[in-house]
Amino acid sequence: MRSRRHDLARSRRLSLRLRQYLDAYWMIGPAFALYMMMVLYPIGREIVMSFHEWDVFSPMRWVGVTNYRSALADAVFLRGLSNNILYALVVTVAKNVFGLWLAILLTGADVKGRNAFRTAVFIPVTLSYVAVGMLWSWVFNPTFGLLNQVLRLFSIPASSGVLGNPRLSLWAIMFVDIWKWTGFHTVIFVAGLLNIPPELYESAAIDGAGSWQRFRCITLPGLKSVVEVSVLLAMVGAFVRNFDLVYVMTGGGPAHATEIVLTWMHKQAFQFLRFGYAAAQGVILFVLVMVLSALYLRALRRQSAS
Amino acid sequence: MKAQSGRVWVVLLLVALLVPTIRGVVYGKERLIIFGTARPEIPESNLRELGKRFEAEHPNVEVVWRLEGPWSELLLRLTTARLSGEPIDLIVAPANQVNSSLVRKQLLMDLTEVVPQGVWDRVDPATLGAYTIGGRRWGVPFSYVATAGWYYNEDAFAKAGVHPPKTYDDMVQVAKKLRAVGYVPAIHQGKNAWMWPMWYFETFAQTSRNRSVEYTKMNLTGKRQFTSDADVEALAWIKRFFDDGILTSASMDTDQDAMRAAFVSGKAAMYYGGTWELPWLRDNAKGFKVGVFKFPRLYVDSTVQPPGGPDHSLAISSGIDRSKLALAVEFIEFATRKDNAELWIGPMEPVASAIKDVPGATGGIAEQMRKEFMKDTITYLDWIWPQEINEAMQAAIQAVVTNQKTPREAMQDVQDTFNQLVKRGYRFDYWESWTPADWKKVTP
Repeated sequence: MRSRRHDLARSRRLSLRLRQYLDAYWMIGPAFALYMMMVLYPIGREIVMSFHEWDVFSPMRWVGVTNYRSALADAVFLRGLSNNILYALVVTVAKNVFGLWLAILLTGADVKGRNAFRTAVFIPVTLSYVAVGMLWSWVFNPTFGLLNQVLRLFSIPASSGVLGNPRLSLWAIMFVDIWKWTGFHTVIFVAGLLNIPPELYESAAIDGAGSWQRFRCITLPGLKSVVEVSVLLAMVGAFVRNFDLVYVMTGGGPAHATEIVLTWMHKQAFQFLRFGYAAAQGVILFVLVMVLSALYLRALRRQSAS
Repeated sequence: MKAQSGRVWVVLLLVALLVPTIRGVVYGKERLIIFGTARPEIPESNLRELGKRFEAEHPNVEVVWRLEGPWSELLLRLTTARLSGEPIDLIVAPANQVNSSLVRKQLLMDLTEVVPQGVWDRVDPATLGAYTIGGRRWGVPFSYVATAGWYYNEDAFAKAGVHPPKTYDDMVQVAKKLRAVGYVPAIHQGKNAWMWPMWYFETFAQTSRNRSVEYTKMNLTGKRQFTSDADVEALAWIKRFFDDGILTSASMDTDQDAMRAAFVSGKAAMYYGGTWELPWLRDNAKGFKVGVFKFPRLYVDSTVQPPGGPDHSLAISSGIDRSKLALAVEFIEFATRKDNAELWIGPMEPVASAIKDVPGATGGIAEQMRKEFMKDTITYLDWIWPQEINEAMQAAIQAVVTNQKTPREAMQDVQDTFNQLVKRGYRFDYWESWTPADWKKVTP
């Protein structure tokens, strides 16, 4: 009798748990279906496509690893990849350094109009890439641009073109990317800084710690988790979210000087209709970003453990 | 909660099932979808009028214009339309993409026998070549016929005491004098990579002693190389425009808007462009008189041959629902009638028109270009070579003018691109390799 009651209670518990799970699955079902449809399926399809030759208009043809071999022998793709790596390195460091610097300035006790400054710093984040790209293209324009007007104001010889100069063009785009996104990182750092108890700074000051020591021993350790997230976001963004800016400002030119993997992929797919080849380039970039992110996270975990 | 979510799913399902029915009720008429790139030179009212007139003759038809984006993105939009299953009946097909992509990819219908002879008779026969591939006709020319030249500010020239140059040496002198009186001598939309090959068409026409079209076909059939002396020399000539101070590196950082702005604001005294600039110049160059002259002669024994041709055509998508084919042909017949064609071609201020009954613009530089430029105009080479070569050529020119490569190295890159294309199965006369099944796709 006791055992039967026990079984009954157990089965009720199970059915309750099952119902709870079912409800949970029911609730996340639409979101999961969307995730499958919008993220997992395209990734899977891209990987499959990368082993085929396909121009959209004819049936796919299996070519094995030919697309990967072609990509690794394609000078423009390799140049795009190296531009991507340089871009990610410079932009990730700069956004975080400037973001942190601005955040420290904007959380200082003696800043008047702090909210106005915070808003001003964040405004570029809200602008679309296309608008930002066009705006800065006109600023850099050697005939009409604001840059040359300012240079002339200080009697500095006018620039004869930044975006048309293969040595400067990629740096100019990186500058614009940094200008656009620094505000975002500033906001993340501001939130982190406000979470550090002010008493720590007060007692450090009483103990005679200078500003550099306070920054090194209180601010940086206090911001560790924020810095980790901020660096990861900046790094991934620098690899895969720079297409619009490059496309609008230079289109990858002059002579591939600002070509990145995404612009070259776009040309391969939509100008030359080599969707399989473009997919292979996308997979290579995907793997690269995944490996770098994994290495970064692993290094962070090791550091935390030690 | 579960029941509520369930109801939402049921409603969504019903809506999804009902959408085609609702569309059918709203669009009871048969829709004729005309796909193409944006044509800002044609007023919206003209397009509406053209559609209305056709609808008046065909009361059960609705004309839907899908003219969006720049011409360079037509293929991209066609691709996405095909991927999403969007129906397309007629295509306003630019000549450069007809050969390089649209026919090659079997996206257009062979119109040779589909379009009645009466319609072909309305077209200037000189324009048919651009849409004839493998002896078959793939589009009915329906546009202005372009050519190219240098537009200049006559007031600036008068101030500098110079006349339109005829030779390259003259042009160097003109540039010097213009600079002396404070003008940027010439500006080019060098940031738009697609415009650079236009310069190559001009210089190659002369370095090849006016055999550029023939040599290009030979290059593409492997009988010649892009690294031949005349081809390399053509690239070297473009660089000389920078070295001799006619153009400055500022042009590398200038797009079409900035180039036009520099010209109409009186900062730059001249720029190179096609006849598509004419409507814009008419509307915007107000403070001074605009003149035009041919690209300078580079050699004593060469003839200047501006690039040009009938810009676009009316073509029928090979994917058209065959039951709508007759309607599409009727639209082509309707559009090429004089009054209707004028609605389309007239606002382009054509130097010459592909439709015989539509007259070219009279007076001014349009007439000068028709009389002096048109007779020597040759086909744009990017109407002959594939997209990949065009892209390689753009990069090659940019690499040379920015001192990254020598002309020979840059042309070697173009040849390498061509060799890769051949390895991947490219052949110039691709239609010869089509199977009966391929031909079936492009015939009714």
